[in-house]
Amino acid sequence: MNEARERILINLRQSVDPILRIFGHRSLPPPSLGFALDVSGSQPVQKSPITYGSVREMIDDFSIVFGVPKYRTSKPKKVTRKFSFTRLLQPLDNLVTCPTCSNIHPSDTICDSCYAKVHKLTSEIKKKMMQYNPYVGEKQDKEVYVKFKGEPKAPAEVVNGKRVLEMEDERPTWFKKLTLKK
Amino acid sequence: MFRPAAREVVRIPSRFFSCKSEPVRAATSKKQATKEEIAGLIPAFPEIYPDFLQSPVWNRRNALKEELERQDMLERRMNIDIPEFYVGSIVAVTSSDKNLGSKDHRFVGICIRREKEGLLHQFTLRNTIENIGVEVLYDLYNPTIKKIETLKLEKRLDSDLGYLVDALPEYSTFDFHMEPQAHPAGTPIPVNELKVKLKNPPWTRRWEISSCRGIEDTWTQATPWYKRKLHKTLVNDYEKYDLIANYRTSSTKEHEIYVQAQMQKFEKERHAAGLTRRRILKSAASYK
Amino acid sequence: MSAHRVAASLPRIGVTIGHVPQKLKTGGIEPSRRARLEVLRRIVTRTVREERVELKWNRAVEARPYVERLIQLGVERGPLDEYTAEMMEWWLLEKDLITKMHEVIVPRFQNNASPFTSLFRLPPQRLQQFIQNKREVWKRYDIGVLEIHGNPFPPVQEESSEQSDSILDILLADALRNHQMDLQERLNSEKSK
Repeated sequence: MNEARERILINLRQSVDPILRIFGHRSLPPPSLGFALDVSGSQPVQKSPITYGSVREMIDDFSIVFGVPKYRTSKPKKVTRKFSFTRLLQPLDNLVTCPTCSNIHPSDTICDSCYAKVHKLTSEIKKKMMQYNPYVGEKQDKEVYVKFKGEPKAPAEVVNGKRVLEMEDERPTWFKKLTLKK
Repeated sequence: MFRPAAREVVRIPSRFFSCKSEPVRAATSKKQATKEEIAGLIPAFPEIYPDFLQSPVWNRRNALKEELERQDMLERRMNIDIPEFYVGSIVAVTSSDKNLGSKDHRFVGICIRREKEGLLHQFTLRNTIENIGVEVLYDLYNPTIKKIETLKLEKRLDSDLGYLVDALPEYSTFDFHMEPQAHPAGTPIPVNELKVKLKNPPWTRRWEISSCRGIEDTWTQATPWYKRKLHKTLVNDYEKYDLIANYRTSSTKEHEIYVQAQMQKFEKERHAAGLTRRRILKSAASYK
Repeated sequence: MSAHRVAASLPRIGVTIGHVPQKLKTGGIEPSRRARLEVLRRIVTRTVREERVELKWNRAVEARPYVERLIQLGVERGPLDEYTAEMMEWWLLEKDLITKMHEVIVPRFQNNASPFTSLFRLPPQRLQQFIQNKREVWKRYDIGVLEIHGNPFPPVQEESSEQSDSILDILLADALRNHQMDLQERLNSEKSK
């Protein structure tokens, strides 16, 4: 016990001394701090650096220096922090199952896993559709007819002046062919 | 023998969409108004009958109130002949006034404004009497009005001639004993492209930044104070491109068709009863 | 103070339109009514060009009536009308799209009434924004899919089939068919004996 107290004092002195030295007391010998708890001025200052056995020990040593709460946090504040309405999880009661792929999604939306494949094919077709340069006078002035790989050539009355986009892939089974009218 | 139907048809319950913009399948709804339907109707209906339109404020559109008011308006139109007139037409109004010796008061002036819908519809006439500008605001369905005549049927470039207040008095001076000029039926309404000269400032409004087409060169007449102020002025000329803002305040074709059909029906009933030969729904431009 | 209306009024738009124009986030532009229109203008241009676009839900809801109205103007009044030409000129930033509007999109709807567009809502999506100091930043998005009818893309929502696709129904139907075949076989074997 006594030993620990001594070590604290030595630590303190070691940390205070350089500050004092900076403030112009370099020529004078370091003055002894007149602590009431000072054990004895006769003891020589230890030169060797203090080593801590563990981190815990170091923290215990320095705990008086750290910022700590000054006041106790009240109960309502703690409870609000933990369980306020922003932290609560609400149950979703509008979930439905997609009849096509059995994916679960909110009832006011479309199924996103079904839409993913639609999105993929859409962007492929769109990529083909956007292959025109408006800066040289090319325009999207025709309807678009999408022809997949391996499909027979559409009759003239179906194409009917439309712009034919030829896809590299085959027609997916879920994308039904449109009725060949007109 | 038991014969099960393979892959029997089972109705899937349609999914419930709570989102307001529920997608509607393409090409399901055909156009409602066919050509036969439009046959007897007036294309310039909103201009001739601004009192039969819906309120520009959506919250005030109340079907029941509109219906009741429309009945009253039609009844009134059976008793008094309300002619066709526009903003810019010269109109004479005879109203009864018990405090006058003759009990009748006739005022002639140019119609500078038509505002409000339904029974509250108002129009303002302007004239210069003894070098003093006079504006009289009439309620169209006021029962003390005895007679409304259109002396000269024409339009101006704007739908509000409020700038006549600041214009030279000769632009709003009309003879009280003016002879009515007949408009040949079936010809389009003439637009008077007169550009008005304003008096020197101060003006009632900043006409130099308004978009009125019927004023001649406001910028040179404007005072330096307001010219300097122009760069601080909020200019909202892009607002005309807001298609849906227009939609929110204007009436729809469906409403006009509905009201005109109602007016035709009302007329027909009254004619069949032999009470009157007066026609309510008429237009000089589309007369056959 | 506006000028006289030049032509007859237009039919109703068959789409939900709120009473109040909603404020939109206008990245980079100082928020104002003008900025809102600028945002919508870009969206309308993109919709006409691509015919099916994914947007933030609130923007899609706001932009949809504008697309409808523009198509309606084309259908009702045609390319020669002065007002229509002015509106097309302003709303479609790329001028080749005015041709597309009049030659491709408007002829599709000559005999149709509004709505000319569909709006679908996707379930809320979590998308990664960026990685900062090994910290991943995710954000939640409500996404709407806005499309003009008659486009060449596969349908977003498949038409509900007449036959049930539920696994239970299929298994039941198959079981019944098997049962019937068994009966038939048994009958045949009895006859042959």
